Amino acid sequence: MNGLAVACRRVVHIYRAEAGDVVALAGVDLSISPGEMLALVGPSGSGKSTLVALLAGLMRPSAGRVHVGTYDLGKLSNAELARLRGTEIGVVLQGAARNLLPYANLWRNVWLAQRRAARTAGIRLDDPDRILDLVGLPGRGKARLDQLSPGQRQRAALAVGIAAGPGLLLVDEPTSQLDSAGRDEVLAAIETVNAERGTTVVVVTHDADVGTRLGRAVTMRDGRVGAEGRDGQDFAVVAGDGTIQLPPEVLGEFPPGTLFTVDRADGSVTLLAGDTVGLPRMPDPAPRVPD
Amino acid sequence: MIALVLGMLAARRGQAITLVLLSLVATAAAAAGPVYLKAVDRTIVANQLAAATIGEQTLTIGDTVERFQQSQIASAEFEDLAPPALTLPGFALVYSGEYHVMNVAHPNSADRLVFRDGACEHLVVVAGRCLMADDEIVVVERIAERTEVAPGDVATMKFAVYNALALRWEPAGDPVRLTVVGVVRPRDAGEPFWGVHAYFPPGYQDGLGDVAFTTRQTLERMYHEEQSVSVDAYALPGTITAGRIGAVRTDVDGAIKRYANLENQDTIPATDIPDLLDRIEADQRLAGQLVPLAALPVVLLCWLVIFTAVAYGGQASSTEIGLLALRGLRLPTRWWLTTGEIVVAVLVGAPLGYLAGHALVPGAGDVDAGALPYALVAVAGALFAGFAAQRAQLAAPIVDLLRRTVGKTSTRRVVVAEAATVVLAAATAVELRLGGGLLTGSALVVPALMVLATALLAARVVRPVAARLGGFALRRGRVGLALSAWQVARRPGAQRLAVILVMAVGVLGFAAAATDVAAAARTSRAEAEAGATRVLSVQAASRTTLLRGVRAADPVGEWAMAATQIPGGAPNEPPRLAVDAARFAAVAVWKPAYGGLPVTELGPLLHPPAGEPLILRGTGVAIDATLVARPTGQVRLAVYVAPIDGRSLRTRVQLDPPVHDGAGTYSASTQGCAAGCRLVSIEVGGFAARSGARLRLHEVRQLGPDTVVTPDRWQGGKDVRITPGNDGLGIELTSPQSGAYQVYPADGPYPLPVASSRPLTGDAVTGFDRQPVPAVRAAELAVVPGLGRDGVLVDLEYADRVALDTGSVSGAQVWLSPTAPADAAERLAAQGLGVIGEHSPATLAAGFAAQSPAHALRFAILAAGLAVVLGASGLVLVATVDRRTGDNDLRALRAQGLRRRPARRAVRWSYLLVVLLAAVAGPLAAAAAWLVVGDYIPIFTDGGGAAVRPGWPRPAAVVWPWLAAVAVLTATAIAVTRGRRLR
Repeated sequence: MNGLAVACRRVVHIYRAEAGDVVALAGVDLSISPGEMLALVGPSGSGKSTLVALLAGLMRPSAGRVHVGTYDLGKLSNAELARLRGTEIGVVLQGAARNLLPYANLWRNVWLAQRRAARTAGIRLDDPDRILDLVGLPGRGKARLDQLSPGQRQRAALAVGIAAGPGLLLVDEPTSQLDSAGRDEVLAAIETVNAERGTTVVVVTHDADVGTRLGRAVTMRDGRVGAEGRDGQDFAVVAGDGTIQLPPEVLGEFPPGTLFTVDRADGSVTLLAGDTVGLPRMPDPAPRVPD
Repeated sequence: MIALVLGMLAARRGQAITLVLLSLVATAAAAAGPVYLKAVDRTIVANQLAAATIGEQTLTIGDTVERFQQSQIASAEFEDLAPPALTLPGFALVYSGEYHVMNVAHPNSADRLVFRDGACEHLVVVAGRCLMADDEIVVVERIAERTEVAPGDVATMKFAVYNALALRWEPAGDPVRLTVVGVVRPRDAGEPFWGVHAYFPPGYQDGLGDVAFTTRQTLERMYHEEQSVSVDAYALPGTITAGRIGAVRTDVDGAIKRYANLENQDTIPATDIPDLLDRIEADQRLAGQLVPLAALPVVLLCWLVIFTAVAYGGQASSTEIGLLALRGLRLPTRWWLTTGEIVVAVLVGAPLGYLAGHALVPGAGDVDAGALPYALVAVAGALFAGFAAQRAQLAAPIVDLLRRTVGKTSTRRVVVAEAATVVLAAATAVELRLGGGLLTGSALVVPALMVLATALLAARVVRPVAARLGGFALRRGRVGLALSAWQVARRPGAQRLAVILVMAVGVLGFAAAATDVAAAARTSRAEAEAGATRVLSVQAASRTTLLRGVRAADPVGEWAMAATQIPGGAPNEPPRLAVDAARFAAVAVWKPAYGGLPVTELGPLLHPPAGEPLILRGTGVAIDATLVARPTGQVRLAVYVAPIDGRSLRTRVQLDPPVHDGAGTYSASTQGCAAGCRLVSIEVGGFAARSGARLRLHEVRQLGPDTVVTPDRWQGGKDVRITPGNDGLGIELTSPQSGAYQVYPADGPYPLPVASSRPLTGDAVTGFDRQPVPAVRAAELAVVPGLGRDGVLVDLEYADRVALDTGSVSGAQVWLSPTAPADAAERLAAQGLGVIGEHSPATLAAGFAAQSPAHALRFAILAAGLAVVLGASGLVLVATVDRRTGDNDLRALRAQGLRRRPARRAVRWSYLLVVLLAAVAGPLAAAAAWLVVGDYIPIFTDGGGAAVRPGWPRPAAVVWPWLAAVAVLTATAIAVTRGRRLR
């Protein structure tokens, strides 16, 4: 199966809580090409896990559209979403143990994850042993969770996530609590999956190096996509409503409320800082921002 | 999938084993109920048969056939017709005939010459041999002693006729020489084979005699003027069984109807078998009501524990269930993986429980297929409880499952369900109280619902109380207690566990209360109905013999008292007991609750001073009287006389000639009164003896020697007006009906003073002669010793004096006080009062304890024990799940510096606090159920009640079981916290 494209347009998600509503996503615009690997980075509470839950069809957005492949997830029924998760969308939860049944061996765990796809016409599935080979666990089909190292457990969780041959793989914090060797093993497995199957991969991580390794990193802040890193370069992203999130280091100099004038000349846009409403005027002008 | 389910079971062994155990207990409780019922049925039948009279095991057709006269059925036709009509499956037929004969060498007495089919097989030969040919007889030991005959002797016998006037037997017809070939005794005088013919009374009675057995031909050939013939059908062993009650009733009814349809017969088969069957069925019916009463709470508790266990375990497994949903597995697959553990555990436990249910019942016998439907219901309920508990997990959003926040959305549903349960409990309680307390149908669940409702309310209280306790403990520096209190306050599992434990303790408390109150009620009724410490049933020739014999054996009146029930009675009239009232205070068992007066006052009230009886000792009696007025027709005078020694029965003697106008003397012979007869009454009878008839009685004389014996005072019977005058007693009849009217010498109070539990109807009680006797209520009693809560007490001597029957007595008793000598029975036998039975409060109480309500209450205790086991199992299961989930919160606190000891205390006290709640709220739950249902729990099969039924149990009876339950639960709570790893 080839990878699935992902498109989010002005996605908003609000949690209803007893203490009041929480806006987890405040208008996310994101596009992911088929077969692309992307790291979703950002501080805790930035909305990463919420976005991944929406992409997995576990929740429906409060507003906006989420497309995975040709599917508008907001318009699918619960049964259709379940079918998608069993066939085309793979999810690896944070914490390897949460992805595996502790009383079944790895082969059985992978087999169980294939059950939905196995009953769907037109889907050819790899043997669980082949899947385990793919993630770097050859011959470990009979092993149980408590017999694996942390890195092996994470790769086993990965195997379960790709068992049904999904076009989109969502992985939450695969490298946290791993040493560098384990991290490399897990990332190598992810890269292998992407390379051999063309699976679109979205990895939620706090580790900036993961983003660098995957080639594209999208930074989320305050429920929005604020910046992207591609091929070593960092970019601010203009959201669908025209807003831009300033990099954190810049934001430190120009706190919220700062007034800018936008000067466009010679193919570039310059933001000139003005008065800050209710705040002292900053002495230095804003840097030039190229087109 | 099977491999996965088995893997789950292996991984969660503790939980699986506990579920198996719960399923086992539920099935065992459900199966034990019907198995116990069947065992109780068998016991009921066995006990009732053991206590049954012969009349309750036989069906008898009897007739008196007159020789030389064409009777309605000649003996041969009787024998031919009766047996086919009396053919009953499981019953054997016995033909017999008898008449009285006299040994010419011993003319002072007569005995019974009896043919009974197959008698030799039921006799033990003491000397000689049994019958083999005609003209042979075998005699009982008493005849051999009395007439000094031995095997080989020849006795010359004649048919004997009783001369009622002479009060003696007289020979008739030609003599027959019969050879005595053996001396015998019955193998078992009480066995049904002998029927209701009283062949072997304990003592010799002049009018009845003893028996000599002979062949049929000998009986037919000997001269006799009449013969009593009978056919008995008696139940063989194994005929009246628990499962054949209906069939036996149908057979008996059919036999009676068949006989009634025969031509030319006017006898009715006599049997008390329907009474026996009624008692058995009543007992069975009660057991059928009460056993489910005990089983239901246990089964409900099982289902509740399973629900809690599965729900609590499911919460711990919510991430696993969320994972299955995350992989897109379809609902049937998720359902099977989620509930497979439950199904396997329940199905493994069910057959074991089915067998265990049989093992729990002593004497259950083979596995009973009749218990299967109940067991299946228990299994189905267990499965449903498990599925219902998992429903929340299956329906919850995946993100909630993965975050383990399932349950918050179901809180409202839980509250609604609990509120509905409480309302339902209240509604059924009200319905029960308003409906008169019949414990049938839906009312059977009332005790379980009341306990459950109280448990739910108590568990609701535990959360805020535990939260406050946590704050209080923390302020005092008791960190461990504070953490445990907060665990109880915040974990839903703790609240459900509280419900289970409160229910377990409550069910046990209710069962203990019911058992104790029932035991006290049985003792109370036994004491009241026995009347004395020991009550001997004796054989007495007459009421006079009874009274005189007891007074002779105990002249002082310290330890023995004569008593007998007065038979018959009007519809709705309470039973009547006649006692020697002067001795009542010394002998009877009396409690202040029985009446509002000291027992020493009862005797004088019932036996006030009265005139001496008029005794005739001559050869005749004469009455001088003048008929003043008669409407038309004839008036006759008669006297009733009763031999003062009681050996012969009282007799009516008609005076001659018929009463004519004007003055006249009317007389009759009373040859049997040479030793003394009491003049019971003078009877004015005849067609003209009705309203408007008047005569004046001038003098009563004894003849031979002539003596005037006119009493100083008279009292008139019903519809008789007495007017003393200078020239004699004026007697005027006031009833418009012609008949016989009595005038009594004033040798007793009239009206008769009685002590009764309720007001008299029509100011009269039915006397020994089955006629109403004017009476006055001299004392009010709440309980009549010897009868119970409903009855009338009269003085035996005075009740006997006004009775016009023969003076015979059935059911004669001698009450003994605790100071009675060891040879009391022998002293009474020496006075002609042979002891034929004995009972006491203890034996009566044992009889009540053999009835089905007592059996059912024993089952209730068994079920309550199971309930405590269930409570402990629930505790183990909750602890098992907590251990599996790893006590994460406490581990986190340990990592942050919480010391080991407070952490261990937190774990231990979180369960002990729930046990403490159960210890406090459990008795309250039991009390709530008892308040509603306690008065209505049947204790006696016949619907009778205790003399004094305690409203509440004795404290010790409920405290000890409570302590035991709390000890078990406390030990379990401590045991499950051992070895918990909090790092």
